[in-house]
Amino acid sequence: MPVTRPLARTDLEMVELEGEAVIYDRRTKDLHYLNQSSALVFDLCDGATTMKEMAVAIADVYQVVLGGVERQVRGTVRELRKRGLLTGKGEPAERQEEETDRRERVRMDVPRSS
Amino acid sequence: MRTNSEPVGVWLDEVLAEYEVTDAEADPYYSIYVAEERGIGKSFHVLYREAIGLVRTFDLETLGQALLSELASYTLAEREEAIHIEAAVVAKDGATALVPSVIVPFIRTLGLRADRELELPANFWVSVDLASGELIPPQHELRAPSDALARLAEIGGPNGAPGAQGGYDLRSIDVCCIFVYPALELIEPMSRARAVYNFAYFTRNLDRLGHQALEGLASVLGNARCYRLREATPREALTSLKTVLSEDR
Repeated sequence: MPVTRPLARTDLEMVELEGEAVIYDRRTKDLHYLNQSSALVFDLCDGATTMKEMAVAIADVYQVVLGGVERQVRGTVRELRKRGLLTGKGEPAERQEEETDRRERVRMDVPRSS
Repeated sequence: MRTNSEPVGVWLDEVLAEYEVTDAEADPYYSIYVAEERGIGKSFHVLYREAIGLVRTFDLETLGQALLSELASYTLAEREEAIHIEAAVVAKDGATALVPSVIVPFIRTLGLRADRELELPANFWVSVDLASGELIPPQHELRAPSDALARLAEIGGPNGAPGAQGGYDLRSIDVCCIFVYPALELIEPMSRARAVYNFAYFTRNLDRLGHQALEGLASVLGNARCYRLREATPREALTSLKTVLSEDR
């Protein structure tokens, strides 16, 4: 399976509330609602992180089995791509951050209420 | 636009002269029914959009305000001075709910009972101040004389006082509701993000303001309890609204 590093479009209008997100795409005039898990994955789509790395970070923070998380991450990325919220292809970008930083970002994304 | 009242017809000619179109083929889209003297009791004045009764009121000035607000809604998509949402604030005992404005005429089909049980507005859009993120009274910005409503009130005569509007604080929205049908649950809690997403669809100048509009909606709904209410019938919608407005705050 090819390694892709999904990258979120930077021209989207977005507001985050309690871990969920609402996105407005001026290009298509579409509105999108992302639940907590989708918003978390979307936030990790920085062009540097592979889907496997996303899954590892999420599984580590939530203390859940990696296999199920990875399937969910791949499904979410597919859905985000289908909605046109990611750039055309996975960017083969350089790794820009360490694993510990990624876990920290996941922790920050976990809503305080959960 | 048509009316059964000659004085109101003259008022329309004077006040909205700048917007007059002369296409004789055009169907009347709005109708103003002015209550006639019938001896005993009082009748409502009614503003209709096609067959939908938008406002029923004893007060002609309130009806005029609703008409100007309704006409101004056609300009909202181009405006940038505030966020303009096709939504209405309804109230009960000082508690307020933000609802899609389309639900108001639906509930008003219950007649006088609806107005007795809830404060229903004569405006069909609300504005959010860009700086404070708070709801503000909508400014219609039509090119109409400043005394337009006062002139209409004179025509109306003493047919009753304005509706009991304004006994609540616009700055604090307690509840926010969208209405769905079909739905299994009568009342279902909804996240604020889900509410922002739904009300963004009703934001007329979303494309102009983009992120600012989303932030403004999030701010207005910041302390609101948000619900999806089933709207099988006007009675069901009214009852559910009253229920969520009455819950402990």
